[in-house]
Amino acid sequence: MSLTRPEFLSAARTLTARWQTLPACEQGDWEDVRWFGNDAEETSFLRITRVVPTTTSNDERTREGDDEDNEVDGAGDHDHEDSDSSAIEPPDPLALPRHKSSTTPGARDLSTITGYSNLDGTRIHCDITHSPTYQVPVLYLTFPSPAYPLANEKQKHSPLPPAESVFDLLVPGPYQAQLRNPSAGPTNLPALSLTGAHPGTDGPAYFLHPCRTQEGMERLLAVDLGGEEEGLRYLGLWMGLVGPGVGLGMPMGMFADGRGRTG
Amino acid sequence: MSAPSSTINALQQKIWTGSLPLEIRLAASDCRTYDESDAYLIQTPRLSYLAFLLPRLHAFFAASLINPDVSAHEAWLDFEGVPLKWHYPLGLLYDLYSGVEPVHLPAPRRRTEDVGSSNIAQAGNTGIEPQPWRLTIHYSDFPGDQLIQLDGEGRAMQDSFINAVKEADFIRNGTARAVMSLSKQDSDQLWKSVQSHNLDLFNSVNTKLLHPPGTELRHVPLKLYLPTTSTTDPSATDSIPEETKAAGHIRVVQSLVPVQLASKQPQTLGTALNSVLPTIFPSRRNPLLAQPVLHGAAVPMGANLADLGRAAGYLDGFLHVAVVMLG
Repeated sequence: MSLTRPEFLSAARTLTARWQTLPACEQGDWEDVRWFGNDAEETSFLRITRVVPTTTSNDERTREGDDEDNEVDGAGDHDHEDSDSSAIEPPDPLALPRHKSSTTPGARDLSTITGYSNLDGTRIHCDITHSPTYQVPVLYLTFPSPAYPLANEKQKHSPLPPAESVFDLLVPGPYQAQLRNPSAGPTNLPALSLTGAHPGTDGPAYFLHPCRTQEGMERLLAVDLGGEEEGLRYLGLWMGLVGPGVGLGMPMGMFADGRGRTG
Repeated sequence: MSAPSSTINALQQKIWTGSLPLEIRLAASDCRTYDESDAYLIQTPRLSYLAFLLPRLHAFFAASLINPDVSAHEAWLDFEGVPLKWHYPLGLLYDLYSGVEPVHLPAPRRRTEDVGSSNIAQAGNTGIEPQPWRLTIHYSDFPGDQLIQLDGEGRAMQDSFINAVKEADFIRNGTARAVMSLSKQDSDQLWKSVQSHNLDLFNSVNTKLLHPPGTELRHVPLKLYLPTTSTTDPSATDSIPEETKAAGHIRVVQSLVPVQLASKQPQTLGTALNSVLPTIFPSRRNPLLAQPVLHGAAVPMGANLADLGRAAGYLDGFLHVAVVMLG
């Protein structure tokens, strides 16, 4: 199921306005929500800036049953071989984002990327565009350079951290195999890959491939949230479809009680 | 009316033989000798990608490098300060940045020859000797904000190519099933044909993508490339961050372009351009303010778009058209 560009624009405006009315304690790990560019231009996009706090996800991965000792060379195979039903089912569209768990003493810290993180954590731009080809939203990820001296000269010219660091930072164990290689299972989770063509910036970015988004959305739209603007409902469900793989989800409050909010 | 298959095949063959002379020099900042190193000269297919040259360029320049430990895939190329994107085919980069006037095709004798091989053949006999395109290869100061970082195994290039092939498939058929259902052998052969520039091998797989059973061509994969300035419209809600817009910034415009107009007439390049970029192409028949350039030629506005897609598509299935302003 597709989303037209006017529906996308309207939903993005509503989402931005509604987030700005949320009290800070309900804004989740979203630091800022902003629309870039002119509505008329296909290069415009919605930017959600997230801060993934330092030392977060490793202990969670451990809870999910990943074998830490085999993580580097075995995580993908493990998930692929298992092919259990939980790995291939679409994620719960209403699930909350997984973040801000407590620190496990002695756990390996995978949640920072050298040269891209500071004391707050790692700042991530989640840019959502509308694809004129697939007629669905597409999620691009970039990592703004931190405002402190860089670790080495090479990183100054490499705004994008290596793929391994991005997987370690954002992708929970059960999703790693699927996001590396979507053919590993009949899943609607898209592949996380590198592109040189962020539609808004014309620069490199990681992105979640949208070729199967329409199929996935068709299944999810059977969920009835009732009363929401159609486009915003789509965008919320879409984030539930593609977001969990990279830890992006709607903050609590966006859908919990829409009454009295602007939009 | 569609052009006959023989015409399509002949034009495709001519486009596959199109090539550009390159003269590549090592950046002074990476060269350990005071005088610049020798230039590397090579004739390269327009349809190919610059990344494929890196192993031989590295072998040639290795002895001149300040840092002898640097890997071949850490290099990048620029033209007059504009980093050249790895995922753009060489011919598109040349049409966008070289500043060379495109070849103008003679007026067709018959309408069906709009995309006919004879036009291209004549276009190749203009008597103008092409000058080498002078590029610079660098091994330091990688512009990571503009280029994807390559890897030693070529995965980034292959991923980027396959993503584009999937998108072209989705545009043509409304689903990417034709690509997704390719066998591993076919997928490997497609990539191998791109790397080795082998038309027969390419067509053995590409035919399956262009004519999947039970589907009808809906749209033509078309990307339009417009040079832009770094200034943005002040009326914008929030301008796209300036730091992301570097020299050579290009605006890429895409739209779903049906093969037929509402009147059931075939879509031409002119009708498509007029519909997607009406202010730049106010006329469907004549290029008044800008001209569409493909494979170094100013394409006739009356060219049947579906035929053009079959005959003149790049390896990823797209018509990558540079929009060159007139006057």
